[in-house]
Amino acid sequence: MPEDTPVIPLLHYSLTRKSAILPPVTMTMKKRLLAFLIAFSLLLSTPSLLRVPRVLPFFDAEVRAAAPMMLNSLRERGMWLVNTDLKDVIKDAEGICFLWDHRYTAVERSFAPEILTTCTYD
Amino acid sequence: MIEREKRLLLGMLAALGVLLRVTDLGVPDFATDEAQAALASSAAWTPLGMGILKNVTMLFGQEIIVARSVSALFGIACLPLIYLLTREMTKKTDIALLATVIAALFPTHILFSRLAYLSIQECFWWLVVLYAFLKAKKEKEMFWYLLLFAATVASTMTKTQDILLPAFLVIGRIIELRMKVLRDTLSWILIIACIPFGFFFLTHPGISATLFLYGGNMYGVSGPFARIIDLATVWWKLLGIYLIAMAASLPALRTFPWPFHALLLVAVLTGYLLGPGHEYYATHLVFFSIPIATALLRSDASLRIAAMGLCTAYTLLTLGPTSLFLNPWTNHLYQKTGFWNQNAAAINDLLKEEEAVTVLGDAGHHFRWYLAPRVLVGRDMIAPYQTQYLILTILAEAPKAKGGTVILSSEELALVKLEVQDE
Repeated sequence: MPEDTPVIPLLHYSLTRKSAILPPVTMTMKKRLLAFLIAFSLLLSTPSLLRVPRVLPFFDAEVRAAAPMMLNSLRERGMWLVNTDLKDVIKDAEGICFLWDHRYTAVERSFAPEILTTCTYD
Repeated sequence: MIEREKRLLLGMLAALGVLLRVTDLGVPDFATDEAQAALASSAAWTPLGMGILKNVTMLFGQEIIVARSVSALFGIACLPLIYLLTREMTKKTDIALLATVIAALFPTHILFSRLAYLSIQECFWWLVVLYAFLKAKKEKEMFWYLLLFAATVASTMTKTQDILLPAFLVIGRIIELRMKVLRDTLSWILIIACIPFGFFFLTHPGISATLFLYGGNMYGVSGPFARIIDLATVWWKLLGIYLIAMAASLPALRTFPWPFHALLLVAVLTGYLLGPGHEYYATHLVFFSIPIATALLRSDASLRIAAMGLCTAYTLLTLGPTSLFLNPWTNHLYQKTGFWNQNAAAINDLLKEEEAVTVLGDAGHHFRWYLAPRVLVGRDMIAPYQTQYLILTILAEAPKAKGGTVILSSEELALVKLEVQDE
C-alpha cells in the first residue's frame, strides 16, 4: 500500500472532491464574500446590538462610580450576580438606581423572574 | 510504511481512547465550573459553549452524565480532526495515525472529555479553525473560506479566550505578508468573524469586570517564575511521561508551519496567563501529540514501541475504568464517588420544607445544581439571615452560626439549623 494512502478514504475523498467541483475564487467573488460575511456577522451580532442602550449610561462617570456599590447591594442580599442582568439605569435628583432582571437558575425547579432595584440613596 | 497488523494495533489503541472518554462519567462531583456551564450562568464566557450544554440537558435530562456526554462527544470528535490536521501538515498517513492514537490516549484530553468544562469544546473549535485556515491558505476555495468563518465565529462564541487563536493567526499573516495583508482574504475573514465576539464583549460588562477582578493576580504575567513552576507542577501531575515526550518532541517542531506553532503557543499561554493552577487548561496540550508522533517515527522502532507501551500503561493507570484499574495512581477525581453524588438526596430531604438556604464560605455553582431550595450566597450578608438553615463550607464561618444546631457534619460541609426567633 502506498505510503500516503489515507486511512479514512471516504473522508479524504469527500474533501478532495470539493476541490474538483468548486471553481477557483476570483477577486470579485472574494469581495462579495467579504461583504456577505460582514453582513452576516452583523446579523449574528443583533442580540448584542440590542443591548447597546443598556450600556450607554456607563459613559457617565457617576454611573460608573456607582456600579461597584450597586453590585455590593446585590451581594448583601445573597444574590448570585450571574443570575442578574442589568435592565436599566435611572438617574434623577435623588441619586442613581440600577434595575436588574433577576432569574435564579437551578436544576430541579424554575424560579419566577423578578425585578430588583438598587439605589445609591438606599 | 506501517504494516496492516501495526495499523490494526493502532486502531485498537485509538478505540481504547474513545472508550476511556465515556467511562466513569458519573463518579466525580459536578464541579463549580461544570455547573456554571450546564446552568448557562457565567458572566465571563461567551454563550455558545454554555448554550450547547444547557440545551442538551434540557432535551435529554438534567443529569451530570448527560452534561458530561457533550464533552465526551466533542472529545471524540477531536480525534479525526487531529488525523486530518496532521495529514495536511505532514502528508504522511503513518504520522497522522500515530498522532491520532497519542491524542486518543492523552491523559488531560481524556480527563476533560469526561467532565463538563468547556476546554474540550475549545480544543475542537481551535482544531477546525486551524485546519480550515491551512486548507483555505493552500486551496483558496469558497468552501474553506466559509468553514474558516463559521469555525472562528463558533470558537470565539464558545469561550472568551478562544479569541487568542484568530488573533495570533492574523498577527502571523501580518508578519508573513506585511503591507500586502490589507489585501489578504484570510486575515479579513478572521477579523470579520470576530465581529460578533467584539459586540458581545462590549455589551456584556461581566467579561470586563472579570478581567478587572482577576487581572494582575490570577490573570496576567505577575510572578512569572511562580507561574512557570505552578504550570510545570500541574502538567507533571496530570501528564507524567507525556510531559517528557512533549519536551523530547520540541526539535520536531521545525518541520511544521507557523500556524501550528501559533496553536501550540495559544495552548501553553492560556494556562500561563489565565491561571496556571487550573487543570483544565492542560487539555489543550493534546495538540503536542502531533510533534510527539513525528519525533517517535524518526526514532528506532524499539524506542517507539517502548514509548507507546509506557504511555498506554500510564493512561490506564491514571484514567482506566475504576472498576478494573483503581489504584493509588488513579486520578484523584476517580478515587471515590463524590460527596455530593452520594449525599445530595439526603441533604435535600432535610431541606424539603425550605424555600431557601444560605451558604457561608465558598459557595460554588455546584450548590445550585445539587440543592433543591434556592441558594443564597452568604459571604456579604449580615446576620440575622433570612433562612432557617445555613450551610458552612469552612470552619472559620462557624461563629456566624452561633446558637444553631448542627444537623449534619462532614469534611465537606456542616448543615446548621438556626433557632427560630420569637416575635
